[in-house]
Amino acid sequence: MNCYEVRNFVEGDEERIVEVFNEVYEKFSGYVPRTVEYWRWCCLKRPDVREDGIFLVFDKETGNLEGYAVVGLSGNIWELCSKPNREDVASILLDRAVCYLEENGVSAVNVNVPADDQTLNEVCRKMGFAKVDVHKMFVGILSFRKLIFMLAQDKTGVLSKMFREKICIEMKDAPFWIEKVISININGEGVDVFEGLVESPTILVKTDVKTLLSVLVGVLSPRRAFLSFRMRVKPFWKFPVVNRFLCSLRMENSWYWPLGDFG
Amino acid sequence: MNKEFLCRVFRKDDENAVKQLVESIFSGFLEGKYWNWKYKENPYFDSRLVAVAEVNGEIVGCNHWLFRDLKFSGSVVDKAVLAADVAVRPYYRGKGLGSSLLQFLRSSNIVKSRNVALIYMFADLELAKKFHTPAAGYVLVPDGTVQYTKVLNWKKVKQNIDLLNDEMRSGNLGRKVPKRGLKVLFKMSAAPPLCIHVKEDGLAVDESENLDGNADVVVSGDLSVLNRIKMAKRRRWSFLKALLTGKIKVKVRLSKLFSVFDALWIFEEVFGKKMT
Repeated sequence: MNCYEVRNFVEGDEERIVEVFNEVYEKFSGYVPRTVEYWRWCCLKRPDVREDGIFLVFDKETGNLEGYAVVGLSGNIWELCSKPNREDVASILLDRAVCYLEENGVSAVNVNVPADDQTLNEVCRKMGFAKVDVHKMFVGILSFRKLIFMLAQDKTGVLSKMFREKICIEMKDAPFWIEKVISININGEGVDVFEGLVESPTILVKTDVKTLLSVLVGVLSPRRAFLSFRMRVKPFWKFPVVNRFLCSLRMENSWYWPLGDFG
Repeated sequence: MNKEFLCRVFRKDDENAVKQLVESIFSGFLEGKYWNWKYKENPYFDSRLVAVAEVNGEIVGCNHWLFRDLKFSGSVVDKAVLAADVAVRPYYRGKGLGSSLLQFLRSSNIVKSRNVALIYMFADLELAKKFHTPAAGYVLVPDGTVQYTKVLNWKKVKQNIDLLNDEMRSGNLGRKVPKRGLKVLFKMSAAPPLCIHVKEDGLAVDESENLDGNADVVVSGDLSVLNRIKMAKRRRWSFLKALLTGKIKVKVRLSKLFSVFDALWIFEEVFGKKMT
């Protein structure tokens, strides 16, 4: 079993903290990359956080930072971060956080953990925490052109191998700040996304803003959107192509947000 | 533009009025005194992303947006907008002011020039269903976050009880007080047991040792279920539904069978709006 040293935050720890946070959470959608400047504002300067409420766990042998917790006197653990599969580190941090809040007479403690992190979930359960369903994360769209462009760029190799199409998407109910028509031109060289109608499109998709966003975010399958008439494809026999295209485009990661990103 | 109010970009001299408005609306969270930290000291703060609504020169609503780097998917990290606090004075709610502020910011030049794809926000489902989704077409993301809570003590409940007792003594309490002598024990997961005793001079927290043996009514269940009941619009109906579906259990001494309603009264009165 590893030996750990636990201590409070001191000036100069920021860089190591930011490094651990980015290493642990960068795989999630919804991740806000930490910089020292951002972390100092988000945690250190937060009105209810004092330096004695920031706990760091180091491996005694290697001196590496294995995890940390930022605990606010409002009862919120703004950031809880431990390297993967370190149940002991997570237990130490949560235990310290609870003791600290108890000593300060706080009535309740709240923490967010990633749903697929079995270790953190197990530690929370063992320490007598209960799941609650208070806040949820929602996304809205400001530009479909930009979103589709970025998602397509990320998978441009796959898309340009799989498709040779000129897809035009028409939004029925687009408010004035969202593009009403966007076109996606996929050929062997890459993917081009622009506002307006492409010349002689091979596929025309008619849908609404919420349906397209739900499909791209991954909460609605294109097949379901098509079968419920929320998405129409012309010619209709090209639906399998649209289905494959949207499925390869859509966001796959689950969304995680620590409490610090919320408040 | 709506005739009754005017939406415009935040100016430096609006600071006090906006701070005051935010403090009055969000007083439950850090006493509302976090505006300076959240916005002014924020490295991403851009005053052009704050919109205010005024009526006859008085600021009655505001909406704050912040740019943040956000990971969308795969290796895609880009600027996104965090739709933060929207505050509207209670008198002006339901008049389209919040939606106008939202549309004002969405169509602002700074958002257009930054070429931002996504906007995101955090809200409880009820509020999002009522306001954010119809006004701005928000979509719930695939949930990868689990929220945990643990009650450490019942300090807030004791404060509520003191307030309630003051109301009872002054005769301002419009509702019928439960029978004297009744003891209701709440046993919830992730919380210490709480026994409330109805005494002659009001309610009190019973801190004796044998709580189980002394209680006339024992309400037990998951903290999250009871929390949901507290936040529900029709609490009695939610309580009954949870009872019938077995999500909460109620044990009553036979001689106090009708005290279940009193237990519900205590539950409604002594816990805050949110139990945690």
